[in-house]
Amino acid sequence: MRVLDRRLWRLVKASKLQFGTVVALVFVGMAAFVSFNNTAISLSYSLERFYQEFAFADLFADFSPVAEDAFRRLGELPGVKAVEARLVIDARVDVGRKLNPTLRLVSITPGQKINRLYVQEGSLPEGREHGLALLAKFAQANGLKVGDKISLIIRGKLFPITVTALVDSPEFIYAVKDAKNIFPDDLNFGVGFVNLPLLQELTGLNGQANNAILLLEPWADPEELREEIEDRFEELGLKSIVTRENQLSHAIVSQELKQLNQQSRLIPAIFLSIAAAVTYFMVTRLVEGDRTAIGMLKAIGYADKEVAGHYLEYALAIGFLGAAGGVAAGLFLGKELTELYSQFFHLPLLAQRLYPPYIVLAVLLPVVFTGATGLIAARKVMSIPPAEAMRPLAPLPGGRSNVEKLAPGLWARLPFTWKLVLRGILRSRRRFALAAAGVALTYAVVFLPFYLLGLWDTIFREQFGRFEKYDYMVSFSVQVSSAAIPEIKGLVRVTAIEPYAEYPFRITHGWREKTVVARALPVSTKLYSFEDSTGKVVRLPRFGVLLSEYLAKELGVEAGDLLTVSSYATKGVKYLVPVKAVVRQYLGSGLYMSLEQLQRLTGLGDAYSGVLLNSPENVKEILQPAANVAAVYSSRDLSDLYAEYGGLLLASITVMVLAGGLLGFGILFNTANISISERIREFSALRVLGFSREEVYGLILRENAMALLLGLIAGVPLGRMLAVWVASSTNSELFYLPLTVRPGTYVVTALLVVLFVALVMGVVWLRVRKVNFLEALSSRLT
Amino acid sequence: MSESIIKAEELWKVYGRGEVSVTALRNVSLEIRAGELVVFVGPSGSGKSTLLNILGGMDRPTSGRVFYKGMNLTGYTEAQLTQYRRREVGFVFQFYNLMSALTARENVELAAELVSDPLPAAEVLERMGMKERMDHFPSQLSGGEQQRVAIARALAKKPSLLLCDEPTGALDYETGIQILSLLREVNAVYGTTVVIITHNSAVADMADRVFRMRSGQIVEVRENPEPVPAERIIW
Repeated sequence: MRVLDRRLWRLVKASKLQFGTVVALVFVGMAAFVSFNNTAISLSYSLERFYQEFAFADLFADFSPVAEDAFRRLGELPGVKAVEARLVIDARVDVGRKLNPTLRLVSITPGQKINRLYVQEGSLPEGREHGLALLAKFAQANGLKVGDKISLIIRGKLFPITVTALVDSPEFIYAVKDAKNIFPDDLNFGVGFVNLPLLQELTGLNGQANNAILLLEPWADPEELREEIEDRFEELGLKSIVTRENQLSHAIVSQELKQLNQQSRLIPAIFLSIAAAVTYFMVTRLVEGDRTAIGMLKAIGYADKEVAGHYLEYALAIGFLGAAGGVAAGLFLGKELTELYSQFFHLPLLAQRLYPPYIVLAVLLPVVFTGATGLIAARKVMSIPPAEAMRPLAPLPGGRSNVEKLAPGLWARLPFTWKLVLRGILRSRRRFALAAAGVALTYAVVFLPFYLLGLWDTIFREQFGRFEKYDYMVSFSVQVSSAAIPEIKGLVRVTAIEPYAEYPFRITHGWREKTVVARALPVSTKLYSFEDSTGKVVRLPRFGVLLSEYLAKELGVEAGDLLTVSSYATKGVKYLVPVKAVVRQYLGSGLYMSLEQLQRLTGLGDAYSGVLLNSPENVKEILQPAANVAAVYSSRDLSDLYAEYGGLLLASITVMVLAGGLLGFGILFNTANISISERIREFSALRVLGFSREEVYGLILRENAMALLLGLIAGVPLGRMLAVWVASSTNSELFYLPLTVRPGTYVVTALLVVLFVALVMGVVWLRVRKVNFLEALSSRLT
Repeated sequence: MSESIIKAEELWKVYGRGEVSVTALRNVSLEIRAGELVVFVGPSGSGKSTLLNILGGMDRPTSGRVFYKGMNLTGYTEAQLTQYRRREVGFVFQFYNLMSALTARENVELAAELVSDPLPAAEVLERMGMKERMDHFPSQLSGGEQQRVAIARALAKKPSLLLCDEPTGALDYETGIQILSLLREVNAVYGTTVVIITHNSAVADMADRVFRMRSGQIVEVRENPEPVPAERIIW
């Protein structure tokens, strides 16, 4: 090893903590880069392959049951490569537990070309055999194996059936019942695949189908075809049609991928740029402190490049060590993360793969980042002449600060120590700015997870406490009349009950169009409550509709605008309805109207899709076995799931807070140390003048307190900006994140940041306690 | 009489411009012969450091020319000057300028690594009386010891020219004398041309020739037919 390299190594060892914190910044950035990117790529690659090999459909259409033959017309449309008619029915299954899970029965055919199943175990049921293939995760959660016999409950009747296979489907990678249930609940919801003739027989829908999946030619535009089908098949009973982009499972998986990709850029970008900035100041300080040594090296014959290279190596070592550790940790974390995802995503081909370009990039990026700033700093070597070695130490740069010039009166009144602090800050404005920026960034990074946690709670409490006040929602397989209400009252003790009706509607505003399920409620509804974006309570209007914020934004609609609505229930006839208000909705998106408004549009009278009710009893247990009951939602179940997944969120919050802390520590510890070594002679002189060690430390403390104050002030808007950015990129038909920040979030974040800074100052005190000021004053060793 | 190793012709050095300009050297011409030990004496500000910097290839004159073994240094590029300092010149500084993170031996190796055929660091250090303390760090060495290491560092490259800037300036009397006799020994054993600048006139007695400087000019050149051994110098 060259002697200069040996010196470098000793410099690093002598400033382990300083060096280590910057390496740690690179480490965290690159660990995030590698793990997120690798997971994102593994996910999207597996997804793409699964979709390709198992022919994931491009269009998904729901119909009222019609003759199978009617679907053939879909295949005649130009651009449609294949179409398959299916029967999709939600039933329940007796798995020997008290509560029967919901099983979505989806028909399959032997020569199926679209949405083919990946068989994990067993084989698909044949012919008229009473067999079904179960979604593997559901089977696992319920302890079901191939060969087990279970009973399907369809309209109250039991049908014994044998499990012949455990499968995965491209359609149910993220298996949730509907958009309201954003978390998979493999115990209580699953999918069973049954041959079409058998399913038709079991449901009494012989020769009929209610769902179509379409595979398009590569050149066809799915959106165009969707519109065409909507126009031409509405009177045939088309309920809704979505492209792959809006298919629930795919939409959720893509959303997750999008976030992962976003994080794979944001986090490394923050950490790397901070590491690069800190590196710049560290190398600058090294060069400044080494002026005489640099002169000596040049005088004895080292070339500029060789000397600059010495300092550049320091910067490169930071980048390289951080990158190497980060890549190793990233690969490990990537594996863990991929495993975590495989708990949510039923993706059979999911495996972590190594993507060499990303590994190379993960090493190159930090080396280039820290190398670039290191080089800028190391280039200062060039301007130091060899004769510097002959000069006595230069006096510290000084002079009156602007404050002195602009407000001499104020300056004169400042206590001496504050003058010292202010001069110190003004002399190294850029480094002070970095310290303040470090505090601000730490604030933002710590703020974000607390904002999300607060949001979690807000969404949860407002959506299920304020907006939707019912305990249970009971949906029926076949619509019922209002006579069902007294029937239900006979079965369970209810404290409130209201019917509701649901129909998919196509809504158009200008050129913008959406298909949504409209929910119609009694005008006097007490179980639903609406609020506009200012928080003002909105009553459900007798005529006109309410639109959720996300939908309104997507359609470019404001209160008072007219919408065009149509549905299979209106036989394709288009109606104009006014939007009475835009209302808050955090989970899913919706269109709300009164039952009267719905009856006006559809001409349908006393027909309801389900009831909302409050009851002290376990309605789920009582009503689920009822013949016509399709599903019983319990707000309680949803809140339990939320709480469960909240734990996961809490874990990621801890990680974010720690990362934020590291960021703050890395910046402040280094700027404080650089400041000390830069001013050591000044401090030494003060010691000689009679300042105590504590008083000298007090100067450093004051300087950092100023940075803390400025950083906190700048951190609040920065944190909000980050939150807005994250929220707005998360908003979709599935989620709408409100920008409400609880005051407590600001306070808690600020307290944590103060704690981090206090920690830094504690470590700095340990260092100040050890400095031999008098030696620093006389020594010329570098 | 041996041939000239370094020769300066009509050197001027002016710092700054216009009214604030300072003239450090005024028309200095001199010639130093190979194998000589010469001393430049003069008060601070007399221009001796500036002259040393120019002779050592660390600075350029405003006008005039410097020849090293007949080659015109004033026409050299920065890279050529670096090579000149690397191959031909050894520097000894008033404040030693050792690197604190390197041991004595490593400080010498730092210079030795610059040339293809250096003297072994251990050997030079031994010669400088530092055998026992080779693996100590500078902070564990006295000023005199540090200066011995610095001389060893300069010698390891086997320079033809050893330039010493106030080599005893930071040392006590006895240590100073030891360092001076060491420089004389270097001159005798290795045949290195030694140039010492000092404000201490007493040092002049040990030189083969003495250049007295004042206000940027050489005011006197004196041959010492019988140089006094350093041990006998008193100040």
